[in-house]
Amino acid sequence: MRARLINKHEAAILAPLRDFTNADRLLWAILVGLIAVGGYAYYQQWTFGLGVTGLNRPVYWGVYITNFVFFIGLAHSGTFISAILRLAGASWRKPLVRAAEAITIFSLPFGVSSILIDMGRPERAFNIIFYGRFQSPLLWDFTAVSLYMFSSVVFFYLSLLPDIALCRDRLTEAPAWQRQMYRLLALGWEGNPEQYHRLEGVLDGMAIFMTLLVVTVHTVVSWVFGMTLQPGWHTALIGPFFLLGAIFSGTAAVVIALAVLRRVYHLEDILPINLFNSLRKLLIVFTLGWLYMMVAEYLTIYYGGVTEEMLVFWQKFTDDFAGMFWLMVLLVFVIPLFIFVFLGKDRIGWMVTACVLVNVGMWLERYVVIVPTETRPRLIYELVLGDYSPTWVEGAITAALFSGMILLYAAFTRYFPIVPVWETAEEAEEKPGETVTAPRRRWGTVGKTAPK
Amino acid sequence: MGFGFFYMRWSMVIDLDKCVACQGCSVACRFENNTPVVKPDEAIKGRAIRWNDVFPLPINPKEETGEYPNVKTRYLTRPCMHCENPPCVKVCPVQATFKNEEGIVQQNYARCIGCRFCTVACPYGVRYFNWHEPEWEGSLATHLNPDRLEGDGDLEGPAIRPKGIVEKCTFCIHRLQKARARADSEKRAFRPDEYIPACVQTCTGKARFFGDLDDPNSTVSLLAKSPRAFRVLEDVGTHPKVIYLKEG
Amino acid sequence: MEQIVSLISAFFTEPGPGGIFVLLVISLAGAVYFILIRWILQGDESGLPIPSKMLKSYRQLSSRR
Repeated sequence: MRARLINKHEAAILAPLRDFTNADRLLWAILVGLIAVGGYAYYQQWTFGLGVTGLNRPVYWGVYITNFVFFIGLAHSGTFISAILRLAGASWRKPLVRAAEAITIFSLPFGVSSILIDMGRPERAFNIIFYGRFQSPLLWDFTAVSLYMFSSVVFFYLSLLPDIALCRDRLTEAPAWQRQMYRLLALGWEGNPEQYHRLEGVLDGMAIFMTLLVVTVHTVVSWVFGMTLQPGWHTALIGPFFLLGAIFSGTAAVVIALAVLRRVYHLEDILPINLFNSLRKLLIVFTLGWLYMMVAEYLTIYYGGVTEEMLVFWQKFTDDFAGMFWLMVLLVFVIPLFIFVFLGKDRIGWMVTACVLVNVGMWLERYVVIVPTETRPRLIYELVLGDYSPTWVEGAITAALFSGMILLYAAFTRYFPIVPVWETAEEAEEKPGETVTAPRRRWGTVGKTAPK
Repeated sequence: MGFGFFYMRWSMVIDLDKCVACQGCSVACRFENNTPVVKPDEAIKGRAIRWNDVFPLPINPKEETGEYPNVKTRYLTRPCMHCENPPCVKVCPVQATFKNEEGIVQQNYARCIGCRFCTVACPYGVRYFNWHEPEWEGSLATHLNPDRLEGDGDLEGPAIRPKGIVEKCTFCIHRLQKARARADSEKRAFRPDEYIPACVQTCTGKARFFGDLDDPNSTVSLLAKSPRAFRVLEDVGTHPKVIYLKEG
Repeated sequence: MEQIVSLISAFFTEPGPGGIFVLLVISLAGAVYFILIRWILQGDESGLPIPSKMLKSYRQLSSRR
């Protein structure tokens, strides 16, 4: 008798793929509409130049670069859950991995797009390849983020592969193009033990590599700021600060995604509440870690009292950006920590609220790192000018980027199982006479009678 | 290359005692280099392009400048510092900005991708970005400087540039090219005093000097040794080549 | 020694090598992933390192001696 894998939740996990409601149509219509508005905004920018934004001298980087850092940060969610927790042997992560990794692969393209959108001459983007200078942190960025995006897609695809084969075999009622898509993407996956063994081995190896990439990527993104001489940016702590912030906002995004999926697709049995409790503990650690970074950074600056650094310090604490700074502290730290510690246990609603606040706050945090420093450059005469009011163009493009990410995610969940069927399956003995699958299919209980 | 050619290290000295902040340098610069003009609403947003900028420099950030007639203020006229260790060159991903062998930090409009990393990296704020397509109206449009420094994937100096790229003071490098070419055609050595940027040529108070810092007998070398000499933001490590002589 | 230092310095400061490096890294990753994916899919029932189809034909060939 051979052991095989059964997933008793298979039908529930595949149910969303067999459906497409009016709510979906409405959601997609809204998202496409927002993308269209953003497209029009970008067309204005393409035609008239970056002058249609609120950017100016000295605030040369604003909302677009904030978006860039934010989306790359969000991408760390998936890798953290699937790669780092995999290495830690946290088996409770298994139902979450694909939902988390999907955030990664669907947010990275919008991070990269944000850079292209910010460029004055985007049609010259290939100059980075033809004339690239590796002394520039932008080249390190380009290398790291490209490698990360490529590797994430491969990692995601490999984790998805057995389930694509499952869809190929199970979803016989799907339209022809969809079945053909599964057949092509399944690459002839048979699901024999050796293939699984090799797949697990490669995923383990890639998990190590992806963990190294996570650390590299967000540190390198922070060094775009850290390697300049500007007060507020030029600090050794910027690497760890950005890295922790990325893992923090990413994990919070995973909670939001899971809660939505659980509700919309009725996956209550597959995504039980203890998953959220485990994530809650991680989030408490990250919130406190974030506080540590903030205290370390600002206490050091304040105690030293260096003139140009204090100008930026006061910009954040009391002057032009005080409102945004303290709002950020409230949204990232004060309220979420309270909720996580006192209200979050066993309560998904509160967890989602806190995590939404965390992500809004983290977007503000990126903004507050980038813009105030630019408004207080060293040659102090520029005090007269340092001001930044984003325009509708920047707002519309930002909305379009978020809509794009959500649209890709939502579409994905209707064509592929968002919970890994093969990773959450359990081993069971094959009994003679029991209805089992035909030789190529090894899932569930639907099919022909077993040979004796 | 030329008759007895050798590299020089171009530097500028500005005597703040003689500067009257008339802004003649800024005006001469913008006409020499075809600097795009911006409308008042854009200027309010801080998007005016001034390769050479004249601005008040308070003695310290929080100090009062005083009441008339006992006003205490000073002005700084600031071109690009053409640093020996330029932070802008370090961060450019495509070598659109680079330091040449004579110490001039050049800017190639043809290769610039408009990422603005150099603009945020410069601690002096000497770099400017073209937020819109450059345009000139009326008599400005008919009086553009025809001098060009372009060719071979290169577009610099007074050349008409597109929107979305960065520009800055070039020490009027097109004048250097012209002066060298003239010396070559006359089959004689090029003399450093044949090359003079527009701001230095125009200065009302004769406060600006320009020359070869490698020549121990040049005006700039001698003035650089003055006890009044200082460089802006010396502690930041950029080694700027614009030397100021402080008042007093 | 000086030549090595100036070569390394040129890699960082000259335009071009940076872009080539990026392409090399991505291509290398691509090659590695392609080989890994192919290796995974070649996994066989027998659990042997070499898929049994290849093993069978090898046996056939060697048995013809």
